[in-house]
Formats: sequence, C-alpha cells, structure tokens
Amino acid sequence: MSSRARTAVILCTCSGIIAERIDWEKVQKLLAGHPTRPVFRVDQLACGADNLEQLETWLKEEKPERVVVAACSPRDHEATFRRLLIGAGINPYFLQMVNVREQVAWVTADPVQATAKSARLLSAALDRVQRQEPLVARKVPLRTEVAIIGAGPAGMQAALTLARAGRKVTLIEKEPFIGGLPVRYEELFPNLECGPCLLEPVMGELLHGHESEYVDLLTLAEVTAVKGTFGNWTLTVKQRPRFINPDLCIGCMACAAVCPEHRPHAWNAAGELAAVDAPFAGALPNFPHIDPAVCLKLKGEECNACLVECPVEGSLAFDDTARQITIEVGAIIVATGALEKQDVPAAFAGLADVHTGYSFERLLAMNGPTGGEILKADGTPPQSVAIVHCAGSLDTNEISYCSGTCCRAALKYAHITAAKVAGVELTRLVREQVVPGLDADSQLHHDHSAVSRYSGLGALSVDGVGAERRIVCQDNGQSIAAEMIVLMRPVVPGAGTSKIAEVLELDTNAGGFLAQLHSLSASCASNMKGIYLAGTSRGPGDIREAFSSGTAAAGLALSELVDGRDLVVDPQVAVVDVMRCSGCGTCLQVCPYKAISWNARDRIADVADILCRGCGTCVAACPSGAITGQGFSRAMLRAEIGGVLS
Amino acid sequence: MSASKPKLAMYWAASCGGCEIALANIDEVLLEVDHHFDFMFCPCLLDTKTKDIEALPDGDIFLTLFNGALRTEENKEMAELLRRKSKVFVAFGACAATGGIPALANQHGLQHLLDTVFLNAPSVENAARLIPQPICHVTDGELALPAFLPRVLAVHEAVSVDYTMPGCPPEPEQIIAVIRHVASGAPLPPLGTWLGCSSRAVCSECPREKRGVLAARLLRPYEGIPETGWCLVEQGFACLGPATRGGCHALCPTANMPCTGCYGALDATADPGASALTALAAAVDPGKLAGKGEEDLHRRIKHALSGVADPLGTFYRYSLAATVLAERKPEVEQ
Repeated sequence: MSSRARTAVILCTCSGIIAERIDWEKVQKLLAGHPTRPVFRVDQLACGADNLEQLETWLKEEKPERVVVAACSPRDHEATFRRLLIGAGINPYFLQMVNVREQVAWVTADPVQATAKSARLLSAALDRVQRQEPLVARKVPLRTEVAIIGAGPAGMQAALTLARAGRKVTLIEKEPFIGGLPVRYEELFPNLECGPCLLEPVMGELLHGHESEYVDLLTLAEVTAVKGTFGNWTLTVKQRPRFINPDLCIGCMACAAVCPEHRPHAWNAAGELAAVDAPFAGALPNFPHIDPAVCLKLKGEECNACLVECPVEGSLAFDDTARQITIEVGAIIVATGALEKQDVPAAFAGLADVHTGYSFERLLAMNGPTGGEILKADGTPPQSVAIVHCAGSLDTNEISYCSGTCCRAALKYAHITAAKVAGVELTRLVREQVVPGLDADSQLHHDHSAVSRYSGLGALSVDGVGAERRIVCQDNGQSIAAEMIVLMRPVVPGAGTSKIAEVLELDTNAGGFLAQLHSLSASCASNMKGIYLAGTSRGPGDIREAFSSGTAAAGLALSELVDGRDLVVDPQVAVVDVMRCSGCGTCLQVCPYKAISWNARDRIADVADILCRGCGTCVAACPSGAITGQGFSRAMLRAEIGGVLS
Repeated sequence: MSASKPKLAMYWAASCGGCEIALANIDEVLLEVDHHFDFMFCPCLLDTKTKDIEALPDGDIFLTLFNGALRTEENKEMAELLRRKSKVFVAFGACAATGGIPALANQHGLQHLLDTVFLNAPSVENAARLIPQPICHVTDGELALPAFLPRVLAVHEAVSVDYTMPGCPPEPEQIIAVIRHVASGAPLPPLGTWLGCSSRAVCSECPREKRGVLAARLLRPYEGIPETGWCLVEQGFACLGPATRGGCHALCPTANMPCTGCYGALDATADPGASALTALAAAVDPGKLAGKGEEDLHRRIKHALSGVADPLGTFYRYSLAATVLAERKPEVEQ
C-alpha cells in the first residue's frame, strides 16, 4: 500500500453480542503487522451516547485521517459514526464500516473462524479506507407541493388534509368528474348512509371551501411521464379537452336536454348519455362534458342544438384543445383506485338481467338508470334475485384472494332489495362469508335471504329463462330462483393503477396493486421515497379505509416535506469522466432513476446527482469504465477484495 | 550511412501478416521511414537472419514493432531476443497486445488442436495419421520444429513491453503518426501507454445516430440488413463499438459492419469481454419482467442472447490471452 493514512479502528462488542464470537484481542494481534499500522480501541457499545462523546475525544487526540468501525450493519449506525467523524473534524466519508455483527457474529458459530473472518474483513476495510476520498454532501431546497393522482375519497381526503396545512396540491383525475366510485352509490354499508350525501361536503370543500385556493383540480387529466426524485418531481400531465368553459358554464344542463346524439352510458353501465352531458345528477364539478367521438359539431357536421339553447354565451368551447401541463412537486400521492373485475364468467355471459356489483349499485341509485327502482331490462321488477358471493374470488383459476368488501356489499344489496321489491325471493350463494367490523354484524343478523353454499363457479350453471330461470348448484343439487342475478366479482386494480405503476415505475404485488413499503407498518408508502399510496390502489378496501389512508398519506407527505428543510444530496453518486465517455448511451438505458441524460452538445452522458441514488448500475454497465461510483470506486473495491484475499 | 540512422525492426510471431500489410499501406510514407530509420529486420520483407540480430549489441535496435501472439517456443525466444536488442519495444497489433485470433485456441487443449487440424477437419485426408512432432528423424539426420507453448500468450506475458499499439491491424495513419513522432525526437509518452488509439470508445467516432431505443434481441449478422445511419447496437447487431477503444475512425461500423473489438477494451484493468457483454446486455429490451419468476427471466435472457452464437469468440475475439479466463486449463475443462 503506497498511501498510508493514519487509521483508527473502533472495535465494538455490541454489549457482548459480538464478543461472544469474536476475540478482539486476537484480531488486534493478527492485524498488528498490517502496513497501515492502525490504532485500535475496543468499545462495549460504540454507538451509545456516552461512548460517542468519549470516542470523539479519543479521535481528537489520536488525530487519525481514516476511521474503520467494526460493529453492526451500516444500515444501523453508519450515519451515527459519520456524525462522529464530523464532530471530530474528519471528513465523514473517510469512514468504513465492517459489519461484524450480522455478517460474522450472528452467522459464524465457531469463535476461531469468526475471529479469523473478522480479521480478514478488517484487513479489507483498512486497505479500502486508504483509497477513500473526502466527499461533501450538497444541499438542495425541496418542494413542498404535492400532486395527488385520483380524486376518489382517498385522493380528495389527502388533498383536503394537505390544503388545510396550507400546502399547494394538484389533484389529477382522469374522469371528467370527481368522487370516485362511492359517489355513485346510493347507500353505504353498514349504516346505509347516502354516498353522495357523505361525499358532497368533501367535494364542496375541495371545490369552493376555504382551502380550495390551495387545490388545483385537473379533470380529464392523466400523468404521462415523471422525472425526478423525492423532493423534486416533475410530472407531465396530459389533459383532454372538456369543450366547456368552466368560468362561464352555470351547469344548467340545458345543452344535454337538446343534444341529438347519444353515447353508451359508461357510468351507469346501462342506458345512454347525450354527447354533451354529465353522467348523473349531482356530478361535480357541475359542468357537462362533450365526447368528441360522438358530438356532431366536433365531428365536423352541422349541428348547433346546444349552442342555441345555452343561456351563457361562450360556455360551450368547441375550440378547446388537449393541453400538456408540467407540474413540479415534492411528493406524489397515488390514489388511483380499484374496480370490480369487468368480465362476466362463462356460465353467466350473455344472459339478460345479470348484474355486477357496480351495475347493481347504479340500479339502486336514485340518479341511476332506473331512478333507484330494481327493474329488469323489460322494466318490471324481478320475482327472484340471486346474489353470488365470491364470483371469481378465492379461486386459484381466477383471483386467489378475498376482496374483503363484497360480502358487505352483498348483505347491503339483499337488505335493500328486500325492502324495495315486495315478496321477492332472495338467495345468497356463498363460498365464504366475511363481515368483520364492530358495526357490521347487524346487517348479517337482520338478513332474511336464503343462503346456499357452493364450492366454486364451476359448480354453477344457469337453466331456463325469465321468471323460470334458476341457478343449479352441482354441489348440493339445489336449484335457486334467479330471475335477476348479481355477481359479486373480485376487486382488481383500476386501469389507472396499472398505468401509473408503469409511468412511476412503482413495483406491483401479485394482485397487480401497488406494492407497499411494508404491508403492516408502512402501508401508505411505496418503495420509492416521495411517492405515497392511498385508497384501493394498495388493495381492495372500503370507503372507510379510503378516508383513513388518504389522511395517512397526507401525513407522510407533511412529515417528510417540511418547509425550509433542505434535501441533502448524498455525494455517493455516479460521476462521469468526460474525457473517457464515448457517448455510447449504455448508461442511459440502465438507470432505474432516470438520473442520466444525454448531453447533446458534448455527446456524452450527464448524471444529475439529485436524481442519482448511487445504485452503481451504470458504473457496472459502462463499457468504457468512464463512470465512477463515488465512495465505491474500482480502486476501493479492488483494495477491499485484495485485503480479504491477503 | 545507414549506420548513423536509428535501427527499426518489425517481427511477426503467431500472426497473419496483416500487420506487415498495414505497414506497407502507409504508402509513400515508407520513404520517410527509410529516410529516418535503418529498417534492418523484417522477415516478411527483408532477408536479415536471426543470427544477424543475435550479433547486435543489446539495445542496438531503436524501435521494434513486434506483431503476433506467442504460440511456439520460437515466438517466445524471438520476443526475448528482440526485447533485449531493442531500446523501444512495441507490442504491435491485437495479437501481440492481447493474444488476438490465435489466442482463441486457448479454449482447447493442445492435443485437441492437433487432432482437429491434422486429423478431424472435414477437408483433411491423413490416412497415415501423421501429426507434426518437435523432433523428427530422417535419413539425413534430425529435423526440429519449435514446440508449442502450453497456451498462446500475449507478448507482455513473456517480456516487458514499452508500448502497445492495438488494432487488427493498426490503422496506417496511426502507424504514420507514431513513426513520425518517434522520428521527430519528441519525448516519448510514459511507458505502458497504448499508442495509436483513442482513450474513448469507437462510438465517439461513429457517425451512426443513436435513437435511444432498445433492441428486441440481438441478431446474428445474416438475420437483418442494418438500416443506414442508425446505431448498429440499437438495431440488435452485436457491435462491440461501445466497449472498444477508438482510433480506427469507426471504420467497420461506418461500412455497416459491426465492430468486432480489435482495438481492445477501454478500461485496461476491467475484463474486456465482460464490458462488451454488459454493453450489449444493456442494449436489449428486458421486457416487462416485474413480478415474474426466475424461469421467465432465463427464457427472456436466452432469447435476447440467441443472436450471439459464439459468446467467447464474440466478446473475447482479440483478448482471450489477456483476461481472467486466460489461465483456465483447457484439458481439465474438457
């Protein structure tokens, strides 16, 4: 070793845990002849507050240029010992930790071997630390604005929570209207509260309340690209045109009444909607929206029906165009929701009066296709209704998990159906029944429907038509009256959820929902710092969880993005040697954080330190060896390997 | 008169003669060579004998351009002899630098090589199963052939090399630049320097455009016709330009031919084949593999790499003698 900086070695016993296996006296003897001539010190608990004070004094006396700490994982106390070095006036990156607790004491049972192994690892660290270079952390201001993707209950709650704290929020919703799914549900489990009534005040506050000035709502908008990292995200949002001027339109819907063209009513899963219309009474924001694929005028044909009727000139904006908006924020909350699996199982496909949970909810809603009446397609009430639980859930061939919400909805449907259709014959076909919760039992106890247990969708077949139609169950030979059928389909990630996972490069779990940092202790955090999760983007859940997780995600954003607190950029990042970079572009493709950009002027790669996470992927990939991972240079790694093998 | 000029020698060990042709390709600059140097040893062009070299005082030759890898005892002896007799000893060309094509023989044991060449090659008819021997007794006495070394060596593995000039062969203008520099009497670069090449990869000299797209998989050359003007790597061709020293002005890629890596790897201390492999691996679209199992990954990688029929010959074409794989014992492996 040519350069021999004076090196201090701190050997920790971790209150005896490490010393049980490793003989520090022996290690010191083994390393006595090491060319770096280190000075040793054994500490019972190096990280202890009192001990750190003593260590600081010791380091100030010994005046080493490099420090090696043999203790626990750097994940535990690297930061602690970096601070120690700063206190002692040594550059914090002149530290090398040797993880002798997890990687030696806990895994090497034989004390002789453990001691020898520790000596080798220390020898490696001593060689490596000589090659280490002083690095300086850079501070950059971080943004405190937050983007929230999805304006269902979870997203709205997160937006309001942040707005109440004075945070600027951009709420991005792909639909023309906000409120998510429950705003379309007439009554909510378990107490049959009115969904729109529950959400109306929330939406009102968001749109017109005291805090609304902090909230920028973008409907018909989707995030198409993202760049950046915690504290400094740049989102590209594409907003489709609504063709309505929100500053002028009064929401009278006179246009909808006269519009000659109609489109399928996707929001009701039944019936039709005018080309210019709102999907249901009370949809917010209170403006219609024009479907350009259906509107005659936008298709270039002659039609002025709505223009003639509109009382406020200029409200209808046929020259509206798509916009691309760039939003800069410090954090992103994803609340893109879930939906019921859309396809209908083979045994029920193509049959009349077969509903999914969602279409049945709309049937129950006063602002739905039947004004809240439970009617068949022919306009008459059914004599019998069969509700099939677990229709596709708990099924290894389809969806293996239990959504946990459909039993509650099914009980609610049974209750409301019994009340609305006098004399109806009601059967619930169940595989399992899940109704947890303090206030959920009353629905179960008051349920009067017949219950039939079945083993799986494969055991069910449908026989007959109309009032004679029956579901036949192979398992028990029962034949169940089923003039109307409601299939409780599994809850799966919404289209927006899979899309945003791709755009934000978020991990997904086996079900396709967004992966949580920890499913128990960090369920509202994603794997990426600065991106938080709320609502059913994380997995099936009800409105209660949507509200609470919205609050939780906002709390995480508030606690991690504090006004005036800078973001410290770790100097352990990739650096490009401009004299050796050939501009081959290999690194641009492999960077998982989009930290590397193309410098067209010099035809080389540029690494943005603020985006770089120091993962080293580009360092390994660079075929010219032109990228160095600061703190992990080739020289350091080779010295370390050499030290282990010496 | 010639005695007053510094002596220039060029020798071929295990080589194809292309390096000599490259020297001849400097055309009229040969006159400059003759003006500045006493070009006194070059078995390809001149009739000087080994004994003439042996007779010279040590260090009498000013500059020796030594090309070819070391395959036989004789190659090694000549390297040692010329090293001793030369002030400046240059490993000239890819074979001398890192083993080159001859070093690909290191994949196989000596017996296997001899069997292949003299017995098993489809074009060989050798009913008597004759195989050359180092010593052969004939009526007039004994004939000797130089024996094989256990494996092909790059020149620096046998003797100390002052400078290395890579390329298969080194480009004529680079040879001219080096010769003119030496002739000018200007100070020579630090020992160990690679001459006649760039510190940047071929991509920095390549006129083809990068579009920032990933290839679906790697292609064998017959599987596609390269689109003019577009980066070959991005089109899936196994072009080693990203991992190869420049200095050739991207001669091959400019002519639609993927770079085969003859100027050698950039980071002299990294494994050359590994850096080429990473560059190409990074050029292939990994597809949507999030959440998929190891089996899917393997299938995907296999598919992506199916365009490289001979990985060792692709990624280590010129460098097998100078890699971490070099000391592998072929007999043991077989």
